[in-house]
Amino acid sequence: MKKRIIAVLMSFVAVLTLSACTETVVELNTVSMFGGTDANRVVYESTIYAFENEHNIRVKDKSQSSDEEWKSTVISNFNTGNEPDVLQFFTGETAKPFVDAGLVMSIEDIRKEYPDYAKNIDDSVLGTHSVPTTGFVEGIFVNLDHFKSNEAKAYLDKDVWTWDEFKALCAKLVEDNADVEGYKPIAYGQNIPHYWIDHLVAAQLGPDYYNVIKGAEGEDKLTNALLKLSEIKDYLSYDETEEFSSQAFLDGKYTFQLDGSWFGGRIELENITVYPFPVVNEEYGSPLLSGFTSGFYITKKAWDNPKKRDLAVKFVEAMTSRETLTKFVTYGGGFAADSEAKPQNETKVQEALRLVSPRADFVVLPLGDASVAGTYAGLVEVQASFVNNQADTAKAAVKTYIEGQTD
Amino acid sequence: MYKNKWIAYLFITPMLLFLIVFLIYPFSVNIYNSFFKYKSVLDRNPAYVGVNNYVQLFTTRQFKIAIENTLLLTILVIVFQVGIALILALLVSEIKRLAGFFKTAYFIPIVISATALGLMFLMFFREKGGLFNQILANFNLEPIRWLNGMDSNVTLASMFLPTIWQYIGFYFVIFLTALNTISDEMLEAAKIDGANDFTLTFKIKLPLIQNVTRVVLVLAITGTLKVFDLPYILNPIANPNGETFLLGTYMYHVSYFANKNLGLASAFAVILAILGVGFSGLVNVVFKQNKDI
Amino acid sequence: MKRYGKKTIIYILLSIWATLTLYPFFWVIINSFKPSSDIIRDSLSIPITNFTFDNYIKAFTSDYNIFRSYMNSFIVSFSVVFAVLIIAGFASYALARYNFKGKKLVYAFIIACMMFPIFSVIYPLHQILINLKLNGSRLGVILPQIAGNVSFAVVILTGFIQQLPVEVEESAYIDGANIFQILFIVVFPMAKSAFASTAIFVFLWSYNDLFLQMVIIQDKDKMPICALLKEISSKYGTDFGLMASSVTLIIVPVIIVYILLQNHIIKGLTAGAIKG
Repeated sequence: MKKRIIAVLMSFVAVLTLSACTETVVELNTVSMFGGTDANRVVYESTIYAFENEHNIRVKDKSQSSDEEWKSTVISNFNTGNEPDVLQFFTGETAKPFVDAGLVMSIEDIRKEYPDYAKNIDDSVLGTHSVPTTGFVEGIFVNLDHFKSNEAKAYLDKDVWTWDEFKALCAKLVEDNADVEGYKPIAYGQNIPHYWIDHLVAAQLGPDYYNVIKGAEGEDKLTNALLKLSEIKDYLSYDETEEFSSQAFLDGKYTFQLDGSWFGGRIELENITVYPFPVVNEEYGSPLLSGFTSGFYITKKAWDNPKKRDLAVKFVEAMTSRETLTKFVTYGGGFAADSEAKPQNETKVQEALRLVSPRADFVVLPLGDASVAGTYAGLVEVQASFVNNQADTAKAAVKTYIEGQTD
Repeated sequence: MYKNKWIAYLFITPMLLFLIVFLIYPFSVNIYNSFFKYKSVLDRNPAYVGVNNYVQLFTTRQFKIAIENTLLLTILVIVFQVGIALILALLVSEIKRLAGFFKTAYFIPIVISATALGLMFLMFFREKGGLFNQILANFNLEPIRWLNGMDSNVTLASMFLPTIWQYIGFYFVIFLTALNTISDEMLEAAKIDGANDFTLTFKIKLPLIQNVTRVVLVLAITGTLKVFDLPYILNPIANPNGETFLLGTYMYHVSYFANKNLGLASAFAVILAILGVGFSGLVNVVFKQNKDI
Repeated sequence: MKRYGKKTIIYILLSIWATLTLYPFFWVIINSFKPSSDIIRDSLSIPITNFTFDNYIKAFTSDYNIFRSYMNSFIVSFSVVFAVLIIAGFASYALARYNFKGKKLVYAFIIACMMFPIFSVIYPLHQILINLKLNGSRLGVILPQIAGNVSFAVVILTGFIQQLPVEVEESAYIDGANIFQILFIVVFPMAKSAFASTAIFVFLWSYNDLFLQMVIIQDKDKMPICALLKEISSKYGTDFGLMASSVTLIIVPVIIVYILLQNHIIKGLTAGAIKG
């Protein structure tokens, strides 16, 4: 009896030790937004594969498409010591918590030891801590197959639509496609309303929107901009998740998808063009959300680990080399941080994306990137109130959001 | 032989160590943190703000929502979960054949993880192609936006349905066990005295299982405080407009979703723990059999 | 005749509820053998012409290893059960048999801890696990789960041990047995049924607990099954076929084990509830 108990106890200890066992092969932990359905994923994963073979190590990658919860988890992981060795993440306010806390290495410090680090990247887009890969352009992807009547087709003669024209066009498209079951003009997933929030705010409040929000009557101005979403309520597909709405657009069910250049790589439909966001406010014209808002960081944890420092640097270099950047822009669209890296065999959608820039009136970064980390989620949470024109709820969330910008 | 007190202390030490290291110590850290304002979770120099976080929490819209919804769930749990369980137990206690089968069947959802059940119900609730809307379509009815609609009452109902459904079998078995302890002679005697089913149920059976009913009620009430998995899987961002938060899901939201101010999350955690232990006081009062210790 | 009618109504009512309980599982299982497009179109039919194993092939060849997650779950949950039984067994014996200073206080403390929702301390708990270098490991889930379950186990086991006759222990003591011999040879075997109940309850609680699994383990190679399932759904939520096959893979083994052990499981869970 006693022996049996000891045996069981021993096996218990063995299980515990096993479960806490340490790894012997060098592993590089990485995190990026090139996961899920992202068009850049192919390039990212093949580069990882090549890197593993070249250096005979294992790269443990945990990438996924970004949403508010994911952003928050990445930041929390720095707090809990779970941060990766290398991460591709947002720049600006979103990254501020871990940049300020000194948990990622600055380019300057890295260059003291590796003078050629990120040398091929254009100085104008290189961050203080992050090495960008590609810049993006956002616009409305339009499925031309749904333009059946001549009245609808007439809208395509214009370079840019006004907000009223856009609404009238949606109404027309509903008529044109009345026979299609479940048809809606606009693909909209309720968990990721970011593109609509960002564009409406920029279009309504202009290039300096962030200061307008923080200025006098910013609360009302921001609320009114967001409530514009209710004007197109009947045209939104309003799917449970963005995955559903995007997939339905890709299957040819919806006409408009407001998204970024990376979405272009997923489109297999023939008849697609891209439009700039409509003019909501005559004073400012059509906004173009574009720029570099992400890049590769090396964490202090990796830098301080003699086994990993060199590998982390080489990993970022492999991901941001001219060769890789060429692949990124070819597959994922946008434009490379190294101006010498040009896309090969430009597709129709990529061409349309390139041509959208000159049609817009001003260029800004999305609201999500301008906001203090953790505050934007509060707006996303109440997206239904924007769609539903619930001014009180919207205003309460806006108030909390604005208060969050000041400290 | 029970004189050697140090053995008793030795024996309770490992337990106390676990409770102190993994519950009490972190709880006191929470209390401490709840008096500071953090700019982000990585803020190394938080500012002391007194009870400000508590004040802020009580004035937050979602906190009130979470309290209200949790209370609503508690009431629904008492009425439907406990109610249906009791009715089923009374019915099964009337029959002999197949009683074992019903017992087995009703208990199954309890052994399945809430995560798996959540994913299953997600497939039922999908607006396009979900089971429920397919059934509606068979009756030529319009599809319902169960989880992605504008009406928070519909969403709440959709979240509560599986939560309540899962545990009915649990309380059913407890009630049935209690009902089976009532002696057949007593029931037969009552019948001979002319008692009908109604008086039999309300005058004899229910009063006799009163203690068990009280236990079930307390278990059901305290359980709702901890509900997290199912509602989180079904509706992680508490659509629409955060109007469908429960205490459990809002706790996660504050900690891991909008993780700006760690102090606020700590204040919430403290309140939650106080509520939880407060209920434990209730449990202590109800479980009279432990009073002799 | 009247009695016959009453019984019929009872059977009808009970069968309706049995259907409401069982049909959801049946639905998932049959649909896991259909292509996704057919599930969305018509999920109520039985797959005959469109029968396929594709969803299972996808589940096993995706970058998620379901079997490894099962192993992780078993490592975590068995460790938790084992540790809880040992720790609670000793503590319960002390509480049931000894009179020592502060006993009432300790018992009140245990009752309070039992109602303490462990997720309310998740942030500082995380910090402790980091300091212990356990964050992200299975042991990092095991230890807090032990803490979360031990008080419940103590309440049940104490109640049970109190009811055992003291005489057996006393005669063993007179025969010269030491305290550990008394515990492992006399007391614990007599309390076997209470231990079994507690073990089942703790196992299910640990196996089904999503919160700790999800927060502490980020590495999908170490994820227990619930956390992995949540990952799969957030990544492939649009693929109904894959969702159905993944859910089936997780519920079917549990249902089989449940049907085999149902009497122990039902007794264990409800005895626990009535006691504690």
